[in-house]
Amino acid sequence: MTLWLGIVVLTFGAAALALRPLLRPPKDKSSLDHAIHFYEARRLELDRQVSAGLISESERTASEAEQARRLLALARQQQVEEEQKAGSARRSKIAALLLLVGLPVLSIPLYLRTGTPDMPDQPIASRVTPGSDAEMQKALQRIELHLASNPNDARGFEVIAPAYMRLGRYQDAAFAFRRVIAISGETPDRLANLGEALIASQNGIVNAEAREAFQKAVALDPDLGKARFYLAIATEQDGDIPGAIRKLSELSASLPEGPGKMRVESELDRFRAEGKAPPRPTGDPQSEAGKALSELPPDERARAIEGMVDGLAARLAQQGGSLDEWQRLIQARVVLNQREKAAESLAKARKALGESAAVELDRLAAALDLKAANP
Amino acid sequence: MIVEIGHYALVLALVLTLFQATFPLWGAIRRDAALVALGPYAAIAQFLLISVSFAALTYAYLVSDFSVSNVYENSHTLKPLIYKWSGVWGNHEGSMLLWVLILALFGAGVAVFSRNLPNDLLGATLAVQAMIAAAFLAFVLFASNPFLRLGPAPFEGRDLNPILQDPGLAIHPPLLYLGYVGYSIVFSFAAGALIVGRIDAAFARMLRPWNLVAWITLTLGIAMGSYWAYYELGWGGYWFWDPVENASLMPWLTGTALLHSAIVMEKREALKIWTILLAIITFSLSLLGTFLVRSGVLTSVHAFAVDPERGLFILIILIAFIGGSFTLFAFRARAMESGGLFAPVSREGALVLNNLFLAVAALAVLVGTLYPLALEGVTGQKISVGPPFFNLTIVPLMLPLFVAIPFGQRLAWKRGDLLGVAQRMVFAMGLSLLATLVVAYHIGRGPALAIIAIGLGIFILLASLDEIRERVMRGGTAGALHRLIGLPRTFLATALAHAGVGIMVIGIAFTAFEKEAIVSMKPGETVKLGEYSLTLRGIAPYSGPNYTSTVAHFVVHDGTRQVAELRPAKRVYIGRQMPTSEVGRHRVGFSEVYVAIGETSDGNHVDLRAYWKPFVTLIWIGPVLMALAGLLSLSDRRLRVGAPRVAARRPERLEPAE
Repeated sequence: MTLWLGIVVLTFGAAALALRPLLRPPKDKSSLDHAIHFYEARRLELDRQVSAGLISESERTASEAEQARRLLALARQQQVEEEQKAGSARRSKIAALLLLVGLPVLSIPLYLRTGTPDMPDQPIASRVTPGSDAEMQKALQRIELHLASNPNDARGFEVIAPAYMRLGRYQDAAFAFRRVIAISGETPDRLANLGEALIASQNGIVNAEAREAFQKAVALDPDLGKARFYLAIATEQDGDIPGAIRKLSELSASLPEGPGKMRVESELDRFRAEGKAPPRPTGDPQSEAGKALSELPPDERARAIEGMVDGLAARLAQQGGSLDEWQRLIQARVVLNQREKAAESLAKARKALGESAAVELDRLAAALDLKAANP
Repeated sequence: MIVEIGHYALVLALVLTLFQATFPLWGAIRRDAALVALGPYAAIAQFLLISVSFAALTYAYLVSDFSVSNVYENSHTLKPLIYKWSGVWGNHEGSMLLWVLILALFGAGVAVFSRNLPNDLLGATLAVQAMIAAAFLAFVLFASNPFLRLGPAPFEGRDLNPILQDPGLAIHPPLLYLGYVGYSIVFSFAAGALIVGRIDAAFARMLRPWNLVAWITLTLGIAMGSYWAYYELGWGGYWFWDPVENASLMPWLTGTALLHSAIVMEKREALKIWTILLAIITFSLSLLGTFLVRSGVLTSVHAFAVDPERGLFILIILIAFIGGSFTLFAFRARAMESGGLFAPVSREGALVLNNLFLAVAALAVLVGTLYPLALEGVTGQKISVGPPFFNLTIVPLMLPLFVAIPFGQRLAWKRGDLLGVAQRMVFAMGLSLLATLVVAYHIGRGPALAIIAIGLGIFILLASLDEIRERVMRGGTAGALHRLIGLPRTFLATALAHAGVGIMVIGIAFTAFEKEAIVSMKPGETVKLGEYSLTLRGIAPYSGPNYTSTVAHFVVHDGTRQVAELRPAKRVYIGRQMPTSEVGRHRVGFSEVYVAIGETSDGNHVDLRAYWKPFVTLIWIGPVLMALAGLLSLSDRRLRVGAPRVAARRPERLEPAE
């Protein structure tokens, strides 16, 4: 709103300033007046030079003769020239009208084409709030400076790598994980983290280095879910769909209920949708409501579930809730394939629960492959 | 909100210039005072709008608003405050905004200070100025818009080019732009005068202050750029014949010619066609410079916008204005009467000589700059026209011009007496010969040409200043003080500006005697530089706010005692991982010891270039004196009337002025 007020003020301010002379037209000085004035001024200057002893009397006379000849020539020329002064008032009206209408009519559409009127200013100071990405950036820079002069500080790289992941700087994250491994040696977790960063930096493609990292990780710890999961994805990218489905199913069966399992199941759902994988084993709905739900036709059932989830979201937003409830909401959103809403809920959960639940929520987000939407 | 207001103000300024380009012109043709008067007010409004726009962008830089793409590309939260200010114009888009701001400043200047211009000339001039502004505002908005936004906004910027993180950046571009763009108003005056057909001494009088302002700022801008290159780039040179330097030198040469020919026009109404032509050419060369820097056809330290589309846009502007003005010129040139007559040997004749040499020098620079480009365009072959070409062409052109300076300064208007002038300079000549012999004796051996050049510089310096003495003492000591006070400031300005040329020539000639050492040193080692010796004490790392650096610690001895400690450094800026060098300098009078370090190896070897540069600062003191003389001349609002020397007998034959 202030923007449009500013636009109106600028437009009419500029128009008013430009149109001022049309309201009170100045007197026209003829060019001959000018020439005469100039001639007189030059004569005075010659007088001054003579009295200062800079030129002689005869030089003055010669110069004055030259000036006079020129003035006479100009005067003759002026008499020939016809002055056209009629119609001034009419022209002023046309000019005023054109300007008053033309300024807004031309400039506002042009601005709407080039400008971004609905985007507010975003000074960095207003964006650096505790817990925000900007504050993290500041901390990051301090660590970066520290690491630049202490390139063998494994602890520093270990701290900075997940931060890079969160900010989407996957290549930097991969570099940091590599440094950690180079300095402090290989562990299954470090290898899996490196692999994950590499995949993220390749837009989801599992390249040779990532695959090797996961294989090493699995060799060290055969139960490492993350490594097994990405190896299954790698199998799919090799073109071996049945193999991938088999690996995912085995992994799913070995995992307890939780975000990790849901992530695996969501991949399996993808195959199920294409009819390549067997349907999900159906469990008995435990409650009355559940039973009623399962008897509904598929469309209505989906709608009913969505309604329940929305209800939960509304309640949590208004009254708040426990970490458990928030996690259930976020997972439900993912299952319903409402990833954006899931990210939104995640952000809200962070806000509502604060520092105490940050670690849990980070873990959940990583498992569900959710990027936090900016609060 | 502030950023968007700035964006809208820029759009509004563009639309307003369209009206400013038409109504006053209409008024000038119809002799309608009211319509003409719309021009000055629109020019002031235009300046205010662009100021709002510039202030908005500056605000975005100061608060690090990375939702503005331009700020994200060229700023960083860790950057010191002064570079947040200067960073506004340290990039293509921002510098173009500064360009149009200065353009509008000159337009508003004409509006405020030229109330006593004839109406038709004022209207036509402001209309032409508005056309230039419209072309460049359109360029800014459609091809280099600094107000484009980013969503979502990043949290850290990409930092300003490290080479540009120097106080020099805060001054050099604005000065240079004031000069470049200043010639736009000179051009507008010339085009306006052609449109209304008013080309006379009164016109030259009106042109003078604008011409001087543009020339002063361009002179300082070039000198500043040269000095900055000297201490920032770490090569120890003051002029590289870099195409972009040439682009600024060309309008300077023709602008200097214009400054001189406009004197003839104002005093004697001669050289009118030539003066108008020079005004057009000078601004055309400024536009050409802009095109070369911004189109990406050149690779140089200055070429910051490598975008063919932008190049095409500027090329169109260039062709439209040069073509348009030359067409106008062709139509009107015949209508111009030739003015006062003069003999070949006269003040006018000397100024024609000056113009001839400067114009040919500008042409040589133009050829040397464009020939490689043309060759590459036609055959694809890349060649580089470097210092050898320019030294071979410019030096022979400049030497006779320099010799002629003290003579031209003394010749009388209309018809002069060369022998008489030479006799009057006997004193200055003898003194400079003596001084040169003293210098040659001190130097001992060296290239003869350089010693002759030093002698020439001394001669220009002494002979230029000697004329003041001569004028004051004419007619004995009685009344000398009265005459000194009565001397026109323009006369003093001439003498000082020419003395500045002499000083610069001395400084340049002395570069032939510099001592150089390019070595790799360990701590404790010493290198000799003429009378001085340089000892490396140690090398240490250092961290600044947004850079890390390696600093070498040197002590300078002059044979008997330690005279200075120097700490040259090599910096790496974190944002862009780009190295720059910080030079260590010790000044002795007008001379300098100069050390720049390169790579360090094994932590205790450092590569370095060290120089002893005698009288090097004179190279910049000369131009600064020239600019000060320009200011002195600007302060003299008196009219210039040429009093022609009356012929002793009937003149045999007089040359027509053109």
